[in-house]
Amino acid sequence: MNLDPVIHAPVRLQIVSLLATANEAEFSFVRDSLEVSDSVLSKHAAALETAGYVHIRKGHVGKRPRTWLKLTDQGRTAFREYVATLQQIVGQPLTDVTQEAG
Amino acid sequence: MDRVPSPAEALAEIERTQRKGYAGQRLPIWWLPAVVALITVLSTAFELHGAARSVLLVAVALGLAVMTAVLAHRVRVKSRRQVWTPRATAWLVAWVVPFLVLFGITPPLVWLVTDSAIWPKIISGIAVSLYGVLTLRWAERQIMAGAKGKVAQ
Repeated sequence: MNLDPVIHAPVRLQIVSLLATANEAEFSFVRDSLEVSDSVLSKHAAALETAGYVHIRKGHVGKRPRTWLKLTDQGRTAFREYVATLQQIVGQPLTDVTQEAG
Repeated sequence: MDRVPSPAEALAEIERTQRKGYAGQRLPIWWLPAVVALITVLSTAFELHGAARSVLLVAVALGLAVMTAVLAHRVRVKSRRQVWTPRATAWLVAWVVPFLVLFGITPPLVWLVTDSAIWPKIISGIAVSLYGVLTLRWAERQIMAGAKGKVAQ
């Protein structure tokens, strides 16, 4: 069973996991949640965009420029397959996080 | 996580990260009492006349505008459309019904004591806000659990 090398890199796995929970997330939210620097996030987001897994959109809220990251359909499919593969390897289902979140 | 994770570590990391993702999508706790306050002020305005009514109506409009602007400014993550389920709907209904009950029974009870048209609205607004603030996060967890299920989406 092969794991998608694009996703399997640690920071990219975190980015894709985070984006999978949302429709779209602001760059600073992803950066703060993952506790990485702007440059690290930019580099890995660009790699995911090149792979077609993430769409990067520049926008504005009021006069402030904001960058939004979104998992593409291809990225979402790749992440789903990646998780399924992991589950097969480990042989355990994911827990229901919403029971614990909060 | 600087090295390539093992499959078990990767799954654990996905769960940890997705908890942060869902936590970031929650509305701030103040939005609910703010909405109730606006409704209370609006209903109070209709008990008044003349300049007092106009002032309160303008205050409600301004409050709504400010609340919308603050929420829009704070948004850093946009939620996915969730797969709604009967279980999630049942939790939502179970959470919303007490709002209606409180809005319905508090004013006449307070009116018995105060004989005022305005105080029942204010007290019921406070009661509804308290109920909302105390139960909001719990209700969110129940509804999300019913709507989303497992972590990986």
